[in-house]
Amino acid sequence: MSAAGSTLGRATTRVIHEWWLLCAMLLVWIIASALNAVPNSVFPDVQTLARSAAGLVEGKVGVLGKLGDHLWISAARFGAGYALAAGIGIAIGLAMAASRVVAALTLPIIRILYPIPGLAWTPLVIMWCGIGENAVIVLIFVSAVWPIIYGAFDGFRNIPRPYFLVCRQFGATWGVRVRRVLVPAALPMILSGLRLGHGMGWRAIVGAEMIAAVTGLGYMLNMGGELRRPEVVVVGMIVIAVVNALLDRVVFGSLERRFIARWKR
Amino acid sequence: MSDRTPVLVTLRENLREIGIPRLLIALFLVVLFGIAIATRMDLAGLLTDSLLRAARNGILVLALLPAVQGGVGLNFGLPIGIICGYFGKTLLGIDRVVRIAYPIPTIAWIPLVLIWFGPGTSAITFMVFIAAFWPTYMQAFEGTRQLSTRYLRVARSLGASRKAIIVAILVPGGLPYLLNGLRLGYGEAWRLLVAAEMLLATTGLGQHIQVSRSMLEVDKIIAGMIVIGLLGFLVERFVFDRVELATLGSWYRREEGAEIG
Amino acid sequence: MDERGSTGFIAIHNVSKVFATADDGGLKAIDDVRLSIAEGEFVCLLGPSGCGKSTLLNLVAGFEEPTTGTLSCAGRPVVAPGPDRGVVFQEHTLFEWMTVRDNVIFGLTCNGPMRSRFPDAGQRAQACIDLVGLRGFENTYPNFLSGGMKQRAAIARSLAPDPAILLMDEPFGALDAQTRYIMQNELLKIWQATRKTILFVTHSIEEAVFLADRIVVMTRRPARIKEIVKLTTPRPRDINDAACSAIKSRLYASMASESVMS
Repeated sequence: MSAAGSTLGRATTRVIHEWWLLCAMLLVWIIASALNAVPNSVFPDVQTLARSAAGLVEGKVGVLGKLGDHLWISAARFGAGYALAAGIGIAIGLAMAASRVVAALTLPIIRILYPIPGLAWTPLVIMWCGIGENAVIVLIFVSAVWPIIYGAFDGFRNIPRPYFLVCRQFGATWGVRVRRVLVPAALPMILSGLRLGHGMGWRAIVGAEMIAAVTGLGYMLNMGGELRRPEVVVVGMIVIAVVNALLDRVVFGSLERRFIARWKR
Repeated sequence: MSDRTPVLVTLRENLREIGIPRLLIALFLVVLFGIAIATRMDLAGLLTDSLLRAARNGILVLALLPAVQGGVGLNFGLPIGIICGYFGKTLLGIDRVVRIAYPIPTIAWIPLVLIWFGPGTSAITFMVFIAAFWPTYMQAFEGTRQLSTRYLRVARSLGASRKAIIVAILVPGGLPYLLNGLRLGYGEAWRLLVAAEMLLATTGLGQHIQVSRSMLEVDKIIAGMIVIGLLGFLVERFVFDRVELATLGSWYRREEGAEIG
Repeated sequence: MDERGSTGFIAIHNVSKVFATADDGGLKAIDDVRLSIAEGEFVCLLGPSGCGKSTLLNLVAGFEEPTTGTLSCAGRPVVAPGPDRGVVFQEHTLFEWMTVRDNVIFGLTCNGPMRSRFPDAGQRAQACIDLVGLRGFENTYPNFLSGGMKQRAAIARSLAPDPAILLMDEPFGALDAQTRYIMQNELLKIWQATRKTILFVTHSIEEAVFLADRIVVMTRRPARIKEIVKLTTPRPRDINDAACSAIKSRLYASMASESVMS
C-alpha cells in the first residue's frame, strides 16, 4: 500500500488511510437513513437527528427546553467552578512551593484526596449544598483543582536556583521578579496543570449535571435517556464532545502556542 | 529501634508497608461510615445494601480479571491498540475514529447505554468495557507505535522473523505501556462505577430529582461508594502492584546489577 | 598586593563559612581565608570538586554571609548581592522565555535606579551583544543557541550594568573541549577590552594556566589557601611551553594531594 511518487500523492494516501473508516461509517449511516433502515429507538437516523437538533435549538422538544440555554448554563457553571479551581489551585501550589512547612502539611492530604473521583464527593456535596448550582460548581472545583495544584507546585518548585540569584544580583524589584521571571518560568507546568484540570472539570460537570441538576447539558443528556429519545442523547454527546475539543485545542492550544511554543525546543 | 518491643516493631513495619495514603483512604471510608451514623441512617439497611452491592460489583470486578486474561473486556482496547499501532497505514482509520470519540466523557455514554440495555447489570458491564477502552487503547497504541520505530528497525536489520519480533520485542517492550493502560483502564472503570452507582440510585424514571427523595437515596450512594472504594483499593494493591512487581520489577532489578562490558 | 587581605580591590579578610546542619556541629566549608585581589586582575580559584571554591565566590557575590571575617569590594563591605559584582554560572543562566536581547536588557531595566542609570538600555545591550560576538542573534531564544553562544549571552548580560567585578563559577565546565578553548580566548579578549576584575572558579589546571594572572590553589574541604602561583608569561599563552609546563606540573602535584579520598 506504499505510495510512490510525489509528496502530494503521499499526502493524499495518508489522508485516505486516516479518514476512510469515518467516511465509510457516515456513508452507511446516511444511506441507511435514506432507506429508513435505522431503528430510531436505538440510534437516530439523519432526519431524526437533524430534526431533534433543530428542535432543541428552538426549544420545542417538550420538557427539554432550549439547547442554547442548557449550553449557557453549563458553561456558566463550568466557568465558575473552573475559575475557583484555577485561582485556589495556583495559590495553594505556590504556597506549597514557597514553604516547606506548607508542603509537608498539605501533600499528604492532597495525595489522599486526588485519586477520589470528583463524582464520589456527590453525597457529601449534596448534603452540604443541596441540589442545584452550588453543588455542581463545587463538584467541578473538586475535580479540577488537583492537577492545577500539582501543576503550580511543580512549576514553581522547579525554577532553577540561578534564576533567583540572578534576580538578587541585579537587584530586581519584587514586581519584576514575579512578573518577568517567576511566572514565565513556571508557566509551562502551570498551563499543563490547567489543561488537565480543565479536562477533569469538564467530565465532572457532565456527571454532576446528570445527578444533581435540573438544567444544563448533563441534565439534557440524562433526560434524553429517561425519555427514551436517543436522538436527544446523541445531540447532547456531540455538543459536549465538540465543546470539549474546542476548548482544549483552541483555547489551551493557542495559549500554549502564544506563550510557550515560541521558545521551547 | 532495637529497644522497642517486638510487637511495636512489627506494627510499625506493617504500617509502613501499607503506607500512609492507603491508611488515609481507609480513614476516609471510616469517616463516611461515621457520617452515615451521624445522620442517623439506617445502619442495618446500609450494611445489607453494601453487601448486596458488593456482591453485584464484586462479581463484576472479579469478572474483569479473567476478562483481562481472556483478552476480552478490558482488553478490547489492548489488541486494537496494538494492531493499529503496529501496522499503521490503513488501520489508522480506526485510530481516527477512536480519537474523535475520545473527548466524550465516559459518563456521557451512560444514558445511551441505558436506552440500549435498560437499567441493570448488563448495562453496567458494557459501560465498564467502554470506560476501560480509551486508556487501554491509547497506551497500547502509543506504546506499540514507539516500539515500532526504535526496536523494530534493529530487529528487521538483523533479519528477525515476524513471530520472533512479536514475541521477543513487542510483548516485553510494550509491557510497561500495556500494564499502565490496564491500570488506567481499571481506574476509569472504577470511576465510572462510582458515577453509575450514583446515577442509578438518584434518578428515578422520568422524574425530576426532589430534595427529600435524594436524601433518602444518599445512604444507598454511600453504601455503594464504600464498596467500590474498598474494591478499588484491594484490586490496586493485590492485583496490579503484584503483577507489575513480578514482571517489570524483576527487569529493573536485573538492570541494576547488570555489568556492561 | 596585600596578602593579609585587608586591602585591595577585592579584600577577603579572615573569612570562614560554616553551614548549619541538622546533626552535629555543622559543615565547615571555608577556613580562615585571606586574599587580596588588585583591580583589573584575573584570578583563578583552583581546587578539587566540592572543596568550597564556589562557596567563596558566593560570599564575594553576597549570596551568603561569612560566619567570621569580612569581605569588601572597592572599599565597600559586601553585605548583599549588587550590580557591581556580575555573576556567570555554569548552567541555567539565561531566562529561557526571553530572547538574547531581552536577557541582556534585564539587568538594566529591573529596577528604578538601573533605569535612570541606563536610559538608553537598548543601545547599551546591543553594545554588549556585539562585544561578545553575538551580533545577529539578538532575537534568538536561548534554547536555539549552542552551549558556547549561551555563555556568551550570559557574559553579555552580566556585563551590561557595567560591573567592576566579574565572578565566574566554572562557566565553561559544560562545554565541549573545542568550544571551551574558543570561549577562553573570547573571554580574554573581552577582559582585555573592558579591564574588569575577574574571579574565575575552575577545577581545570590547563584552563587556569591559560587564563590567570594569579592562581589560588585551595585545599580539600574545609577550604584553605594552599598556595598562590603567579604567572608572568604574556598572553596569548601556549600552555605547552616550558614555563607553563613547569607551572602545570607544580599545580598537578599540589592538587593531587588534595584529591586523594580519605
